[in-house]
Amino acid sequence: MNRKVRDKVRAGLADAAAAAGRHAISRLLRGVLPAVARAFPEAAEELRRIKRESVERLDELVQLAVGNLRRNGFEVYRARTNREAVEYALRVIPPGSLVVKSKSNAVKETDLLAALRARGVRVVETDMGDRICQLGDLPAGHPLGPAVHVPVAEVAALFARDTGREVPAEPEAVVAVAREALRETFLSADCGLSGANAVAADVGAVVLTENEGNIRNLVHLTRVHLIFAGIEKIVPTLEDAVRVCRAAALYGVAQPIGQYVTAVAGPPRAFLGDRPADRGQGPREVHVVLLEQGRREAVRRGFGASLYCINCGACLNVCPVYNEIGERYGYRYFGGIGVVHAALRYGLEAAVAGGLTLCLSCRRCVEFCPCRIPTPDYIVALRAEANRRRSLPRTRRLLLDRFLESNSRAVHRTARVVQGLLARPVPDGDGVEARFFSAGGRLLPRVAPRPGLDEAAGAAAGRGPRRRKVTYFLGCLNNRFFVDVARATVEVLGHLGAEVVVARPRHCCGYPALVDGDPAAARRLAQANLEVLADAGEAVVVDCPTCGTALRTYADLLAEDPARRQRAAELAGRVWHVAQFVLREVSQADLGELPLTAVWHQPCHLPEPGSELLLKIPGLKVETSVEWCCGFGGAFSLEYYELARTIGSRTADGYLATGARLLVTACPGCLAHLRDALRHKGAAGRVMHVSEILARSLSTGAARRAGPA
Amino acid sequence: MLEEIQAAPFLRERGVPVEHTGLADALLEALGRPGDHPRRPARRLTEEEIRQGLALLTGGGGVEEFRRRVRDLAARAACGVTGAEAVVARFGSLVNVESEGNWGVVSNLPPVHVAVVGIDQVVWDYDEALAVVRGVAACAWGARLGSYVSVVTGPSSTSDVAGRNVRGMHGPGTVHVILLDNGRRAALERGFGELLYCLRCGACLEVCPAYARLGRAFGGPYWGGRGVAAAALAEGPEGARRLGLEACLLDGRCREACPLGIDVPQALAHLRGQA
Repeated sequence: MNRKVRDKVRAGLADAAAAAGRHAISRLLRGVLPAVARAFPEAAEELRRIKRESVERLDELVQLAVGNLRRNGFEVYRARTNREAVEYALRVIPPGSLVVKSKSNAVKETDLLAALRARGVRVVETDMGDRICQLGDLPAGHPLGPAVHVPVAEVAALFARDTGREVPAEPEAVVAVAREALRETFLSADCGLSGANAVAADVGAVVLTENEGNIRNLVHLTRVHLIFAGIEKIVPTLEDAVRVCRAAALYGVAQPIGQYVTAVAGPPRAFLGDRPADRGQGPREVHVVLLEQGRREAVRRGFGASLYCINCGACLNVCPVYNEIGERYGYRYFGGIGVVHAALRYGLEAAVAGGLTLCLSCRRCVEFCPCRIPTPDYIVALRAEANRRRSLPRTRRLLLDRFLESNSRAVHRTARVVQGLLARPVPDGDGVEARFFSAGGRLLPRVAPRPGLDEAAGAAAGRGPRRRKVTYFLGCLNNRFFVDVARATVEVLGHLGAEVVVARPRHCCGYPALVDGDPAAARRLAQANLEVLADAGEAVVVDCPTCGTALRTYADLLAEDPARRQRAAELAGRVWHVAQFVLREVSQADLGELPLTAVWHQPCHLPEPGSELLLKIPGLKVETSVEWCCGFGGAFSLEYYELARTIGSRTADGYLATGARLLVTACPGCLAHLRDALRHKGAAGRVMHVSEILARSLSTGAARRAGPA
Repeated sequence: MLEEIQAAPFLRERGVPVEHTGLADALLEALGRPGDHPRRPARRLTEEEIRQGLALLTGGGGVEEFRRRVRDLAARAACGVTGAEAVVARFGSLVNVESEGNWGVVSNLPPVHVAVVGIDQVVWDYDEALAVVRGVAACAWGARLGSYVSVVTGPSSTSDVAGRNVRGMHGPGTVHVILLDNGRRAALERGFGELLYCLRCGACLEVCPAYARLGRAFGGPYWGGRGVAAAALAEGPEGARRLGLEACLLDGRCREACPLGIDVPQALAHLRGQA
């Protein structure tokens, strides 16, 4: 099964034009979305309130909506499965008819279009982007801008072929021709097929939003209107439904509201005399098919928040994997949430095929999602169900279990010997590359002569007791490879006047096991590390943000053991990344001048932006970029190296474009992967850990103060 | 609103053909009769009159033929002219509710849409606009909602062709909103602000003895007693007298019937004093 996913990844990476189009939209939206969302802070809060309530009251709202829709003259059909929905639709749409369609995820979720085609029904997409894809037989590369990557000349040629007219290669001209051609289609169509952004239970209305006006044409110009909507689209009130539409526009395309919001509350009626005449400007019949497929299952199995999704696509704009391979990540619905929907609606097999292993767990989607859907957590839970780690190849499992999890000196020595045999140092000395089977020429960090734990302990020794004690929790990558970073972290903490105790965990933090779907292993490691950190003092400092994230999840991992859970919860409050810790503790006067220009790379698991800290260093100029993902993702980069490198490479391009040649980050994983990316570009540039920069600034500062005295 | 400013006759005088798209309005015009209710203008027509009107209007094609004709007309028209129920100030949106669907057709098919709204129809956010919508549906039609609520926030557009934003994809590329004062600010300034609460639901007309006697002559294009007051503020005492300033019995039945409790008799008493 995973071979199929790898094939899809390869196909995605080969389709550079589509990727460029996606990146163009995503970059634009990543740039503007945070400010727009900040301008309307209530939009996401209200959406969460509405969606929480809607899922909590699901059964009641379905009843209410069905009653009110019927009272308004809708034909309502409750489809338990997508197959039932398709069968109903085939009863409504006669064979050989002409159907105008607007964008609908619910329709996409079913096999309706194929079934209609088989019965000689002609379905015309009326959203411009979808129409372009339909005419060119192109896959929709982005849910909201499906065809922006298609050059205008090509679009013009498609409409020229469709209409038999000459179409100049200008967007305005293409739009004018398309408007006219589609208008004719609207006026002669038999049926309209649409989705729904929301269904207002209290008034029995289906609410839709758009920018183009095709939905309004569909709503007013067809004889029969068929609406597909998942039952999770039902919200309590009309006001709530409008809020859902607002959030969709805001988080989808950074618009405060779409150009059009249309509530349809039944077939239209003109009033004559004191009774309604038989028909107004709209369909004679409006059918609503409410899809249940897997929705109740989602709630029952604890994935209820997946139903909060309004398909705005905000998560996709920030998903490093989606941006590279597009619709190939997901299953009918795009991206990580698509994988979650697949598991709950069609089973784990579908989720695996959709890319259950592709999520990097970077959590950027959660941050940008107006509903804060915990997609990465759901994916991790599903990986556990799929017994993901147990299904890994034996060698890789061994590598993860033994090499990565263990901090023993024996394993370290073995790793160094094995690396010496299998890999050779690269000329510039920043790492090694495989000697025999080259993993795409990947630059790997070199196993250090002595483990970082020993180096750090050595650096911390002889500083003597101070009034405050800080425990340094050292992760696997800095222990094995980046011992300079470990030493620098100790030095930084020393400058802050703390006594540094280097914790001696025998194992890794457990995060790789956890995200790989092996919670039992993660729990075992959590228990062991909890013991190690039993009397850690006022702060536990990490220099790997992923370790920090892991330590903070111990309380959840050990939830069934009240005593340990309690201790883990107390621990969570004391965990600091060195960057956050320094930002809190350092006084400006301690920082010495560094006349450098750096670009900050924000690691995914660092809770707050670390650039603030860099900005405090006198003389240091800090550049920013809308790129952000190094593509490492732990085991992800082993399994999908080419994809991981493409992600890292694009990010490195963004950084180099700022003119800075020094990249500063706060995570050893990013460090390793960005170095690999730079080497592949042949670009001059250094990557440093924030501890190294801080150590330099603090020692300059200390020397300056000691100097004149 | 279009009736208040007499938009159709004005345009026709200048050689611009104007067609009504609401079935009731078109029917009444074909019969040469004025409407007697701002929301259901043809409610008093008998079956016979409806048959007659439809025959004049469609040559025997009936309601179905009228529907077809309207949408073909709208598809060819240079411009769609409408009112709206509310304007949302915070986002710059028009909000409308209707049962017939012609508002949606007229505001979407032609390349230009012109909407005329009173400044009293401006509200802050969507919740307030929807409260107006719900109020209109309940008070004017006795319904929970019409068949369509439409929110329009600018011209139709697409960015699907090479990422460039182009206006006029399926709907109009240009939307004009005319914010009409016509005595509304004067109402506020002269202490008649309550008159601006009016939803034009027509409840007051059902109980008004003057309206029963005088019909559309009472209040003219502004409708009934409140309309007389509006005329006084828009056109001065002369206009108000012409539209029946002295005809109101001041018995307060309209105030009882009004869902917003607008005290029209008191306003008229004051205006009589001032006139």
